[in-house]
Amino acid sequence: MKALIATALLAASLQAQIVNTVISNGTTESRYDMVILGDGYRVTEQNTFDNDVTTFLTALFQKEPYQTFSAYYNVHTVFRASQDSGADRPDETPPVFVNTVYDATYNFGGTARCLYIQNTSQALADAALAPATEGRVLVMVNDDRYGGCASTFAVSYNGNSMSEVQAHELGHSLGQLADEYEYAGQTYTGNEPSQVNITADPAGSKWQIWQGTQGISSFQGAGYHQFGLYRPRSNCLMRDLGQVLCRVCQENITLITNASANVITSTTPDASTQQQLLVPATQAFSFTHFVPAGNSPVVEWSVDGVVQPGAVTTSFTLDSTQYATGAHTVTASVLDQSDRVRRDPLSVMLETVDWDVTISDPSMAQLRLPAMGASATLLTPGAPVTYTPTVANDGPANAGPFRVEFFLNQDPSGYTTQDIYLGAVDVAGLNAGQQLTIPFATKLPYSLPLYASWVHAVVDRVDAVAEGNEDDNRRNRVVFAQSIPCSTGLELQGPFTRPFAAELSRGAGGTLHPTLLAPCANPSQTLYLLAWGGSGTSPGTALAPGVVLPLNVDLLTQLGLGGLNGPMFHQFFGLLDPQGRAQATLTIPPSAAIPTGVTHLAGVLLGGPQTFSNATNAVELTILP
Amino acid sequence: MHTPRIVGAAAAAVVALLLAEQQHAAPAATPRAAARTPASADGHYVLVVEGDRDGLDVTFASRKDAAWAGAPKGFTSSWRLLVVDDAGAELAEVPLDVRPFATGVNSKGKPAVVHGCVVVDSKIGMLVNAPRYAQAASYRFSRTDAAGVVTPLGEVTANQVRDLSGEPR
Repeated sequence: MKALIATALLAASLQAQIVNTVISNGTTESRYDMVILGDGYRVTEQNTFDNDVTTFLTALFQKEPYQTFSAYYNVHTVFRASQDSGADRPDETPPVFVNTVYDATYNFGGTARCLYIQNTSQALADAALAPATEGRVLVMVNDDRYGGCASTFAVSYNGNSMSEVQAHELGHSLGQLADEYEYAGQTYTGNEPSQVNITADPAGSKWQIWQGTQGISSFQGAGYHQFGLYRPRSNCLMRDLGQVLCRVCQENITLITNASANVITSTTPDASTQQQLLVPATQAFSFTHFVPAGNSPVVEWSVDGVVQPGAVTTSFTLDSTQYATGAHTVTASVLDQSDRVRRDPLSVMLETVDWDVTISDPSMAQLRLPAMGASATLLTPGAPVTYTPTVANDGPANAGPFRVEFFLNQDPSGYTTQDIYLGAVDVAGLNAGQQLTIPFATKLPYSLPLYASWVHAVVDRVDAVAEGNEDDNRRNRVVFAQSIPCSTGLELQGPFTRPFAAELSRGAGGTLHPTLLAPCANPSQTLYLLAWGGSGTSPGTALAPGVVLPLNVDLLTQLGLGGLNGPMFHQFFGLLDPQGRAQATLTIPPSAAIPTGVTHLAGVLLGGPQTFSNATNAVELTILP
Repeated sequence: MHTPRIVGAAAAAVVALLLAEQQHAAPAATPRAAARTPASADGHYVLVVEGDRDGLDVTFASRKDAAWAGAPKGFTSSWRLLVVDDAGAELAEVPLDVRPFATGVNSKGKPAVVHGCVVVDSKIGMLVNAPRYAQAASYRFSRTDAAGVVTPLGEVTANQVRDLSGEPR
């Protein structure tokens, strides 16, 4: 109960926050959003806070690089009144302790002039109420004793040097800059500092690109050390109040500001929506940005990555007749050439926007796959299945010959030509406005993983038919695999290789990869043998009771057994791998002395010497002339 | 007694996969088609994140209708906040800027140190912009060390974040 009462009293003692946007240059998504809090301002002193903020911002935006990039900032204030004015002064006699909302104190960390807040949790929660924030927060403290410090918060007193102190602290907080002042007699012996504006390198190579510009060189004495650390300029706001920020410091503040700002503020048409363009129409694209004209912004347009010569303004017209039908990308970019930046490794001074455009030709054929049926969805690997895609020609022109192909993978979002190729159906043509259902009978491979896979039907993959839109030619269908325990199968694997049937040219030669899958065999003790025959599969060759190799032995069989594991019949015999698999390679050299026609490959497992345990199915290999 | 529910759930999953049949834009001959469409964010949160090198927590949240502007261009960090859905799928990754803080193994628990006028504290307190997703289930903090070992730093449910921001559930 006491805790509840204490919490209630604490809540009652906290004044409500008052949130204001004091500088608004644009949306919070597009600008760097500064947040300023006040501590040690009583409720009657809100005007003092407001005046302090105005005084500081007026001074800040007269300094570079804030002046050049003033349009890049929004500034929000969150005011919460304190019970007392000022900040704690624990190092004075007698010590002074006041009740303020963020509990600002001098002598923070034992450094008398370090004025910082102790109730950071409350300050963070209040700052979060601003319309937006980049994570760094300024705090004005209503106390006239000189002081300031920085980390996540940039904290300053509000006396005579307030604007200079706060701009310096902002250099730490926003600009991630080091102090450049020194303590007499200190010598630095550590590693190279991470900040951009101090270095242990006497040559100052860290800011080599700036040397010779506006006094940039290398000056010993920086980072609290008189010796061993160097600064870019004899003086800078990060060394002494009343100074300008040197170019090295300005560059870092500029880069950080631009990393959070999005200078392209609007696009016409809206770049987040897909654009449709019908031949022969044109489409105008444009955008607005707020890169200052004095920074000589460079605008560039490209289509599919190809820069468009002469397109240097913020608008561009795409002529659909100059591009193939299908998907295209129009890209606009604007490069800020500010002289405040000479190194931009992260390209934060360059901003781009993309439009996705589909060009269609309504006068052309338009093939697509509106539906695909299947004879089964839950399948055993190796089982037959028939897919029945419907092909439609929605365009006004007739389509000539094309092919419907079928791929299998585990990705519902698309296929590649490296996926399992189930085969194809050739279609002689399809007249305008007609549709056709094409049965495709196949078998799913033994290597089909359990659970879900997808069969992708693709019409006219190679664009044999000129279409108004080449990008809507695919449809998929899910298939669920269920296993049969201990099935032993043989299939062919490789791009554009059907699992159970293939063709090779005797004249040109070629390579195939027969793969045997025996998931239940003991891999360390099971041998396999692949055989080839050209005399059909029936009645086959009985090897043991219940084990019939589906090949009729002939001269091809003898050729294979004679060349076992040689250059033509690589890995046709051996031990199964730990997964119970074996992949062999059949290589037919060009113009080999073999007959043309239909042949077959099949395999058998040997559980021990002359102990045949299982035979596989046969796969068909047609030798073409 | 739960069997019918389990069967029902499995059936629902099968139906969902069957419904996954859909027509897609065809890819070029070889490249795989684009990955799944990322979930779209509904505004963003400003999160108050506090803790130390071994643990982070969200202690306050403020919902903003404006779109998440994304992490600053080019900014990367081995500290991150992952927004995930209830299946554990990543909706967004937000790099965390812990540069102002002392995060070394020997710094934990030590008081803030002042160098010149720079405060370095092992106590982390920062504002983090994170996209807001209706389907978000949790917010996970982690850091990855130089050897690639990922250290979880804490997890906050989306409902907790909604509560902190004063949103109705």
